[in-house]
Amino acid sequence: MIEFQLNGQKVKVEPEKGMTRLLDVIRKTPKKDKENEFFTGTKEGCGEGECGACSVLVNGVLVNSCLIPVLQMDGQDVKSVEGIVPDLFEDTLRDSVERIEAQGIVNSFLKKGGAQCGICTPGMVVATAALLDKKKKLKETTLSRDEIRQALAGNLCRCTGYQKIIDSVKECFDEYLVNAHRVVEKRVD
Amino acid sequence: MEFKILASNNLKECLSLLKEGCKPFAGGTDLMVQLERGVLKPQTFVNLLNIPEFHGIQVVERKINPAEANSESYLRIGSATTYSQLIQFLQADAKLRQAFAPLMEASFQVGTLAIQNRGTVGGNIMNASPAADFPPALLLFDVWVELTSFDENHSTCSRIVHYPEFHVDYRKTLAKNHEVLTALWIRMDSGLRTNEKWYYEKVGTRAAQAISKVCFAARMGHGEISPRLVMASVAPITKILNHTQKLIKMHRENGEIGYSRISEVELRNALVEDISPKTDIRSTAEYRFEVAFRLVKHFLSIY
Repeated sequence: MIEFQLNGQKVKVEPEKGMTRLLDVIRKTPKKDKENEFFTGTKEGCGEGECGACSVLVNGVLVNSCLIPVLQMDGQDVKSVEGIVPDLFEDTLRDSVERIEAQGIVNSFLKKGGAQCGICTPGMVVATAALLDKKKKLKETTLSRDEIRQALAGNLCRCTGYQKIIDSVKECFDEYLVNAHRVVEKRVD
Repeated sequence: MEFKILASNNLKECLSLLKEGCKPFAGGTDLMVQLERGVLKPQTFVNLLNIPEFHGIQVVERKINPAEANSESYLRIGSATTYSQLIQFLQADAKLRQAFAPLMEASFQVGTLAIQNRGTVGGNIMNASPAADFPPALLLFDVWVELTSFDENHSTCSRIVHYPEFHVDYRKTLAKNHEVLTALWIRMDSGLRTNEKWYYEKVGTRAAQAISKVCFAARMGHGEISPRLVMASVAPITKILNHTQKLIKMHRENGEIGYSRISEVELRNALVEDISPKTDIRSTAEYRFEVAFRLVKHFLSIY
């Protein structure tokens, strides 16, 4: 049996179905405790690894899920967009740094108009999360627009012309990552 | 018959499956595209990514070249090493990063970050596309490829092939059926010297990700170091530009300092002997030739 973690849930796939694309398995996986809801945030844009709409994180690493046979995910930890930006009304994350960071990406995209039709947005959010994780690990406190372009170069958008997406990522980094702990401190008193 | 993929976590089992006719599957960044396009016949694959022998990058003392008397220092790169892993490895060591800078640049240019995170150096070689991005950078150095298989006595046996001889024709390599590429061996001493200049330029329609129209890698230094110029997408296999190299060497031996001494006509004539670009969905033969010429000219001008 192929077994892996998807957004904190255990997923099982028969070995005979090992060539099924990770993308298809994700989109057919039901959310725990939510009838008739599936992890359809991850999109198929091209099916060839060119557009990034299917981007997910495998063990924290950015990949195109349309190019991965699910057998290779056995024992791995997969996070798609729903697992990276959890339900904004999730009480367990209230007032934590994690919540502010997770909210941060969505809030910034909303604030700066980084989405129009929204089909590329899940992929953009996942690529953004990968970039923010990298910056956190390296403890870097500045982020240039050029760096953002490099990090999101695998994600195509047909609507926005990209500038507002870059604005959103920059806003997210500047506002939330650097100031998150300050916001939490304030709320505690 | 359907497409299937089998799991394996040890070399002997993997080799046995390959001997039975299973096809190797590593990063899958090209195979999955071929599958999507319907150009593959239903077949059974074996997943290479869990075999320990295909992973890791180490410096190893070894005697590989039959012409050499003593063992030498080699960089052993497991065939399932992803481009991101290679980049991380080289970034961590300033000396290696300087000596093998073209390999790092090629790794960045092979595709987007998501592709760099999955694509493997072994896959790029064994897939043997004439447009492969890693081979031009590899051929700047002294590289040997290790092939492993299961023989009739069910023993594991390996052989080493000198990489410049490995690609023989369009998508044809010297690898035999049932053989799998286990590792690349790069002689440490063949790294760039401090006074050498290098060049890696991939010309395509999208900066982050493209199949190249032309891809050019080169290195050149002073003294006895021969210039090495390599090009992809201009022949059925990656081409070492022997005639062009000879021309450059000849001008250097004449004591000429600037390479502007090489006339356009001389350079074009040498290039015609070296490359045979074709017209396809990406480009015309004439355009490819012109780009190839300008790339070499640009490299010579910055030297």
